[in-house]
Amino acid sequence: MTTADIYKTDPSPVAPHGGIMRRLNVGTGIIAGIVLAVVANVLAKKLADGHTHEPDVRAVFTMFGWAVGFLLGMGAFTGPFRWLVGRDLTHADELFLAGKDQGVGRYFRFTTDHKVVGIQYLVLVMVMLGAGGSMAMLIRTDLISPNSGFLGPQTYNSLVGLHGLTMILATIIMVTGPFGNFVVPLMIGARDMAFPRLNALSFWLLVAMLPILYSAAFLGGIPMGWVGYTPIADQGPPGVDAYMMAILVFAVSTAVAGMNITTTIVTMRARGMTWTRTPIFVYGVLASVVLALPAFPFFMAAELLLFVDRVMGGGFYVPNRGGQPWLYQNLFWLMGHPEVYVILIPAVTALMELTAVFARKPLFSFRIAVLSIIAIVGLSATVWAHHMFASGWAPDLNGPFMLTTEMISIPTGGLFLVILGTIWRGRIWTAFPMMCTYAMLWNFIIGGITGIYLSDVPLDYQLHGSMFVTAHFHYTLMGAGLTGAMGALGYWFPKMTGRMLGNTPAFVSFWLVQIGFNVTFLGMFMVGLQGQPRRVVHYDASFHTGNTISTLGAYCIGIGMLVLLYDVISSWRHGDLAPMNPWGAKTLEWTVPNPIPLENFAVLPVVTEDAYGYGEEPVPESEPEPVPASAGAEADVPGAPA
Amino acid sequence: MSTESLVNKEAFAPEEPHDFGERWRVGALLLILADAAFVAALSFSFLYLRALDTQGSFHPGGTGVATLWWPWTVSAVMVLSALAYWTQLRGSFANGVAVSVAGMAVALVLTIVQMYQFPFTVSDNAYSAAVWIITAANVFHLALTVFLGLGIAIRRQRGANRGARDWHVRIVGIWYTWVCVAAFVGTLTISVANGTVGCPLAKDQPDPGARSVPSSSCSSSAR
Repeated sequence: MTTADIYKTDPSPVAPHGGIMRRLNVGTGIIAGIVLAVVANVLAKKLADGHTHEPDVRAVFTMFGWAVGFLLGMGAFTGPFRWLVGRDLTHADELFLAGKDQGVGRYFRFTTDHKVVGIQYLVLVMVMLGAGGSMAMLIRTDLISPNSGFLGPQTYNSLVGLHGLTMILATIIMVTGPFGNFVVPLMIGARDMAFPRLNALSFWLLVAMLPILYSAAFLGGIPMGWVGYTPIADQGPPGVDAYMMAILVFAVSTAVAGMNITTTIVTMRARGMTWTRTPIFVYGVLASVVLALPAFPFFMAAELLLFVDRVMGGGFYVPNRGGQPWLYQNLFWLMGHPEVYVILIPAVTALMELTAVFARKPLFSFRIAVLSIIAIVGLSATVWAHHMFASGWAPDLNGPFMLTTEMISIPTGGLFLVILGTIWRGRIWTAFPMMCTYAMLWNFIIGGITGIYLSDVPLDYQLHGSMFVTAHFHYTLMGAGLTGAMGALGYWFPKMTGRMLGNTPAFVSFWLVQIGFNVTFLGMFMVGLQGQPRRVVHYDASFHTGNTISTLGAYCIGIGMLVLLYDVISSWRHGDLAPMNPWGAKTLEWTVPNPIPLENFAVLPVVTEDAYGYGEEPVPESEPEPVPASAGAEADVPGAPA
Repeated sequence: MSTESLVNKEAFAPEEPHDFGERWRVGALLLILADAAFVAALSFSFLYLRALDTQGSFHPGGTGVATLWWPWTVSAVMVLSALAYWTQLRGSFANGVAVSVAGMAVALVLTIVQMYQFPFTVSDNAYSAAVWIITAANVFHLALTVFLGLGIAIRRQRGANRGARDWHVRIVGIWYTWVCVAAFVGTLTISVANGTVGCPLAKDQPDPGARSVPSSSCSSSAR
């Protein structure tokens, strides 16, 4: 039974088939978005003509009009409207929304099937990482020499802010979006997500957000960096309105997605899938969204208060009206530090999942892994102020926040031990995903230990605002988070696309990216320790060597990423057909055929044991004949251990 | 686990309405959790700024103070509306849903009127901006509540709340209860802040961010 069958077993009394709903797609969304944006702009001009805040009012109204119009044109409000008038969507409507028999067109509609949404997220993440990465190349090119003049100071500041924000938003969704949507329902033995329409809404909200975010580049930029600190944000150009609106839309998307994924995992696991039999990746995704659910509203509130300041002349962050920039910093970091774990936990648990498969060993100490995740989730809500040591806020609390921050390294170390214990004496299959595990261990050790330095108050006073901090968080978010996502991509690519990811280009990409990454950011540690401040376009000549090294490393990353992009596109189009279970894995997603049927499972599974019973049966034979898609038989791929 | 061990003939049976209802309820509670964090952030902001009273400008003397009569009245109307809703669900008030929708609509109108009646503008100071945003949040909650209540009323009329969808009625009831709690929190926040505005700053802490004298030591003449 598909999710659409809810409506079959529970029919509506009055159920006309959707008419206009079936004609809506991205094209109608864009048209409606533009029309409403123009209308809102004209309205705003009439409302705020001559007012001090007229540019901000018009910018905000236009962006709001765009977002609402786009979603309206996509058909996102059809369901709620039909609910309001008591004419619920019919079974046929739901099947249409699920994308049944629609071919490629379903990727450009308000499609509710979790597999379609997962693929949509994957493409979106790649687009965002591409955009953010291109900005990084421009930034590094400017920094290749002390006064290169490649970018002006204002452009440089805006690029740094947009690069940061793009990358943060992309990394927040890079695992829970594509793999949380595509893989998790399969992994827990469910037909779909708990709320398929909200699932589609969470994705299309992000699509609506992107033009808003990038409009900042044409509205004066965001001079205050991705953190959006006040009072600069209060005084900035209308580009800040774009930042603000993008965050508001993103926060709504995150809340909807977080609620949906949590509900799915808590209430829709297969029979017999107790919490001790639930795969660790499911825990990782659950922890991520459970953290995000209460954390992002704080960021949303921070931006809403900024909205009142900028559009209505409020005084939340303006000291001479009784406001305080510290308020913004608190609200921001109450989201900002949990957000680090929102990014890291699912990426690390994806690597745990695949490490057990590629080491052919049960996951070492499942309980330590789960307890570590729980401890990280709990502690991450108590560490936010370590970002504010240098701000002078509540010096009496520096000690406690230093302690909680250092404490969080203990459960993080637990996750490391679980991976190391799983690798230990395993029969390692050195495929691309497993290489990502090794890279993550190396990178995250450096990122984690430098984080402990920064949690130390005296040292933080010295290093705050320097390139050392930039290198540190790149080692965690990119070195661990993005590397984890790349491993997840390599691991689940065969199930998501029905094709194997090309092995040789993947390895070439891996080495280029990892070598380039370490060259870039070890160089950045060096200039950071020497005292180079971050977010400054011109720097002293004494930092020249380190910056040149960093820039060359960054180009190496860029080339490596292009190779991976080529590999993904070419493999997706005409790669080797993937067997149903190329890795010989034991989790449920590998029990469904390629391509995966709309209802996922012909028969809902019943789980009788945990997913990590490796080493208890013969390993699949090496180098069998390729098995065609949909064959429904387990098979192996070249390179498997004998 | 092997594929064979996964076969279960019972899985062909459709899920029970109860399963869907429980799922929807969990989802609604999680959204309420996110909304609660948002409400907490607004209240925290208000009280934090009040506690810091930066440059003594949170609410300088001579500027307007929001009357507490409005928000408490609105909260009372909301609680009565929610009670009417739940009473019909318990089966002892035939028109409870309709009355509750009307009550929430009245509360919405009262709140909008309240915003027009403020003796200050949003840009006067941090106090006025904070009162404004908390009231605006209540308007948002009430608008959503009226939408949901109206939907339930129309659907009852059309007989659409059948099977699993009967859970919608109960879930909207949970939302009714939550918006009352949120309104109460907002009103309480304004009341606490109102009780201390106008207190002088401590003389030995003239810097921005200096704390005000605690409300307990703030004399009535100073208010």
